[in-house]
Amino acid sequence: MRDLPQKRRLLWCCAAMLEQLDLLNHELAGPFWQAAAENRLAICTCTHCEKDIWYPKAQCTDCNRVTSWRDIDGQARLLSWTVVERALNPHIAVPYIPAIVEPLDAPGVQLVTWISPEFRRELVCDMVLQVTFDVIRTVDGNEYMAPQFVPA
Amino acid sequence: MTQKSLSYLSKRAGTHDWGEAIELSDIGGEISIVGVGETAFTGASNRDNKAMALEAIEAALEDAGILPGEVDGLMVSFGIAKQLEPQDYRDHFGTTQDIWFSDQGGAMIWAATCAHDAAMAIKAKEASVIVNVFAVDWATARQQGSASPGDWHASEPLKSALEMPYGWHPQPLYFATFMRRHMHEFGTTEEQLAAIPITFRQHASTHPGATLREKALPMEAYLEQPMIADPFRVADCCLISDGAAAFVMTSTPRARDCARPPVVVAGVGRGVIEGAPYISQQKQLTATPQTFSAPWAYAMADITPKDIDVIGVYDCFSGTALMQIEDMAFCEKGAGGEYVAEGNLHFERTRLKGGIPCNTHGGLLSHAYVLGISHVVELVRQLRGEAANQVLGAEVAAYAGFTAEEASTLVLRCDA
Repeated sequence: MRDLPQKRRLLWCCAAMLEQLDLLNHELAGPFWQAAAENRLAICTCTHCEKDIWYPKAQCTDCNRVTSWRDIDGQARLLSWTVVERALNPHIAVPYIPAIVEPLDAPGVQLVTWISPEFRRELVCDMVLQVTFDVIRTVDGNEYMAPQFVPA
Repeated sequence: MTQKSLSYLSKRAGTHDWGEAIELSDIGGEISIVGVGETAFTGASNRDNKAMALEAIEAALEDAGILPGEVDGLMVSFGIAKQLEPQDYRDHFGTTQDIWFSDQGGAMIWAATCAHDAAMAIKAKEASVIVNVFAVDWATARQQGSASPGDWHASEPLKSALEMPYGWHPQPLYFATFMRRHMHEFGTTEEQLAAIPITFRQHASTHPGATLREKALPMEAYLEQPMIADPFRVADCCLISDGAAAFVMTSTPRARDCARPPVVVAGVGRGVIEGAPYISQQKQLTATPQTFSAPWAYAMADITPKDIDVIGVYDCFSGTALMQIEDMAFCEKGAGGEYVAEGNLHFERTRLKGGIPCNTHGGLLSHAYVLGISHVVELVRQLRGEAANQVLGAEVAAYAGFTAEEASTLVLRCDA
């Protein structure tokens, strides 16, 4: 395994998928990662229906118009998390904490995200978290800025 | 018995804002299970998947007293491992019949919904004797590194773009996350959760087919296990196994001429969450789509949960079994931890004693990971009165199938 960055150890877990995955140009999720590259948190929405479409879709589920993306503030409620202790994903160092959060200004949207393990003792369901951005690196060496969360 | 309308079933099933029951027409009583068969269940064995399927079918046909040439319907799983095809069947048994074929059978939710499809096919005279079979060689595949239960999840485009970068994969993490929330909302404890793997292991210890029959699991040993993804330890996560099972379905009138007493399909339900297939988007993290499927199946079968004597619940993880037991209404939502900790899932804790015997073969946690089809086989044996851990007086049984975003319910009863 290649050397892991010291600060963040968040890497793709399925090397077989890497050649097919270009986050910035992903057909549906690309704008999420493009926004993250500029330290923005963005979600898919329908401006006509004023309804967030999450997970992203090309067209609104109600009016069929083409969707767009909107920036959100970055505060979110912690719905739940797990501390992963066994290396089920061989390229991610344990322990690590994947979580599901609901942005305060986008109720009903649920983001899968990441909380640094240094906060593991502080976590309680429904606490408010704040977005932060940091680099993740894939096993083939690509780097992306990724939204992550810390206690607010 | 008059057929119940979809609107009646729908009304009985109720409505929810985070998912729904799929409309399945009333087929209650029309077909029965007349034969069951299994291979041995093992870890990595290098056995061929199709050979295991054929072995299970042979056993099921012998059990039913049906000749291979009489089978004119075959149901298998799509997308999971290498499943049997009609020509494999004919080649093996040396027969030449036409075979109605469906890949909407097998295990997981389809071990229940296959009975609905089979009833429709039999009613339409497309087939008269239908075998549902499922074989899996994931223990061998894991040893070879060639396939795993997480493969589909890793290949799905939005999961790979929005979940895998954060390592929310494979399935143990999904349900660990959900279980954490259950503990927060309802105060469920680790010791309560432990009652599920411990009780199922007790069942396995006296079940000849269970792969973990010789590995006792006392509470102290459970609590000493390290976490995999908290709150799940090894014992909270299903086995990975090689093996196959099959069951034979035919019309209930014909079933009465078979070798064994018919086990009647009384009701079938199927439910799906809003936002499927992305369970990260499930709006109710402490429940399962069993919430939608069980009431539909109960309505079709004309029963309430109180009428059920024994259940088989898809226990890919202890937490998913716990939530489904709640969602099937054997206790109040959120009270599942306390309920299971009182020993209520043990096969001797009958309904008269306030329990609901569950996974009396040991389940996916301690019997084998054949994705639920052996749960149905076990329930058939319970209703025939021939189970290793026999529930006294069992007359009605229910299987809870599960994929994550979908769940299903199969209600079985003894022939009247």
